[in-house]
Amino acid sequence: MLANNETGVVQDIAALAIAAKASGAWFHSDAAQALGKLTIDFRAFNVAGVHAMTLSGHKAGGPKGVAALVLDKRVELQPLIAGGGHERGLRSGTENVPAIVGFGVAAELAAARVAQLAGQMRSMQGKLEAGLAGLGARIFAMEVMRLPNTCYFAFPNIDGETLVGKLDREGFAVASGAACSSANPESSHVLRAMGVAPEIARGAVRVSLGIGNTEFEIEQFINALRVTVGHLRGLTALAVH
Amino acid sequence: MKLPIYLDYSATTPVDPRVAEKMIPYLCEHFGNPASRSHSFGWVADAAVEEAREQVAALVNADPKEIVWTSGATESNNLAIKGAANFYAGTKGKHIITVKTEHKAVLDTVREMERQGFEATYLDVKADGLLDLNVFKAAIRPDTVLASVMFVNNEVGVIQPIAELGEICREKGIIFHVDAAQATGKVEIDLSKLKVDLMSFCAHKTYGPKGIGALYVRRKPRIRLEAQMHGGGHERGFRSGTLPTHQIVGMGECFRLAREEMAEENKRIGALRDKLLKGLQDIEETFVNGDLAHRVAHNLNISFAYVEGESMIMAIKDLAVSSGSACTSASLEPSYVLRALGRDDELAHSSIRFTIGRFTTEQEIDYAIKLLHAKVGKLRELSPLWEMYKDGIDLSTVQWAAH
Repeated sequence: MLANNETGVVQDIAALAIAAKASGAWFHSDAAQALGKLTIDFRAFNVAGVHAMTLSGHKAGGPKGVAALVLDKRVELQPLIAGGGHERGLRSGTENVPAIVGFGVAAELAAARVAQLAGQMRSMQGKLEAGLAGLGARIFAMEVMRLPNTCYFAFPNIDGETLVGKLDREGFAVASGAACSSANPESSHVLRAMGVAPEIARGAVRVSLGIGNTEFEIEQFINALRVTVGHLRGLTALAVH
Repeated sequence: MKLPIYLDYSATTPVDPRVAEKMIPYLCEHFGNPASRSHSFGWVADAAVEEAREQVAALVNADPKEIVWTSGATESNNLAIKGAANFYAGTKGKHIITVKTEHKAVLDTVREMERQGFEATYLDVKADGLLDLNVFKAAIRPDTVLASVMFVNNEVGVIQPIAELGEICREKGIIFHVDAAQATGKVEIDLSKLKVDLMSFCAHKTYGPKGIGALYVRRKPRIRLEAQMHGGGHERGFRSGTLPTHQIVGMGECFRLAREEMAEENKRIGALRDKLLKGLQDIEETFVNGDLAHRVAHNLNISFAYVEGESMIMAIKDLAVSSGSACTSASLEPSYVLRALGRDDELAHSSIRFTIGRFTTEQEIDYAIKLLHAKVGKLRELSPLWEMYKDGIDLSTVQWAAH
């Protein structure tokens, strides 16, 4: 993947593709989370050896239910959905016209605004993470290149699910791990793969920012977090003694 | 009256404004991911998805737990046929039965199964478009795993005997899949009575949005499927991927409206169809394709002999109709459905499908009748074949010289 949905970590896809090219392997990258947050130059990636890239509408300001596969013309695929031969035989079925139009407009807007938005989000991310560090949070993958909108953190000895529940009541909608597997109570497979200890991983909370967020909201969030974390730490201390 | 007049409701329907209105809040306001469990944005979206699931289930008298969301009928057909055939191939066998007049979404999928080592039987239909139950029975083999028969044909609108076919399949232990894309809101569907195991639906033929469909998967007796799309385990593992809340809300609402209004609506539309039929029948040498009794109310498929379908479509640009189904309209092959009904190439080529809908008016039908009379007459005046026919020459006996 180009950018990880939990940590926001941006992989060096071009370098990986060049390595794959050496052995003649096809290279696919899931860029669902990156669209609209990073400038994506498929032509440049393609030269490096990326042959296919997944894009999604609803992560970039477009509607749910529409996505695209950017595909090197030299790659032949076996279609998964047969029946009529739409999309040059690669994906049959009546096109979801309004959603496709919406995705098109969202992509156009993203292209025009990505540089400016990335700057704004990066600044809010910095503010958020300074506040988090002040409260004693551990921020995952802080030292590497990440999406400008994503911040993944944990407080030692505080359960992520519990914290997210408390924050929801305070009026902040954040996630503990990715939405797709939120039903799954296991700790994040991403953090486990990164070698994070399970007791830390259980505390993971993801904040992902968007076009509507403001610096003021970040300040309010940090304030709410200070109170909530203080309260939960008090409870933990009581439980320990 | 606005031109052109839309008479192609079987290709797609406009979204009913009442449906669109219900969808809109789920785009900008209640935009949450229904899979988000940690905040109200997700809960609101999830509640809307589940309400829609109940509405879809209600139209076909199923349990909401038997409804799996997909991107449309094509995906539902792929999931049903590939998913069930692959899951049960080991225990039941690798033979599939379907019909020559099915939609491409079924035929292309069965062809793909053949490439993967399955055997398939493509049944003929009678001249009226209906499947002969004895022909169906005779095709069943000990290794038949699945049969797929559409409820309502997209080109000629005939209604297959699904109840009877279901009984046969259940008795023989064959999984029965029905593509009902063209049937919802047109015929009554009661899955508590029909012995159907899998049924495909979509919204955009029933005044809902494109890009959303569902597959009914029976729970009693339980049908299992091999998932075709992986990643996250949404829809109880049958079909992964973020659920498009607004689309789902639209499908729920359009099915709710269909349930409430279909009886009344089909009466009105049937009267318009009969008026159109009556108005065109006095044109010489016109032939209705498909049975008229076992047929949905909104479909009329007519061949105008000695008039070429494509030039007809050009001549009646004020009417949005199709010759053959929209999916194959790009090709110049005559409709494979009409060929299967035994129509010769000439008549198949000269066929026009009129499909009437919720927003069709009597005035529009009057206009269509008048226009067709004028244009058919004009095209025939230009046709040497028509002239020969009028001179009493039997065209089937003519030896054509090749150039």
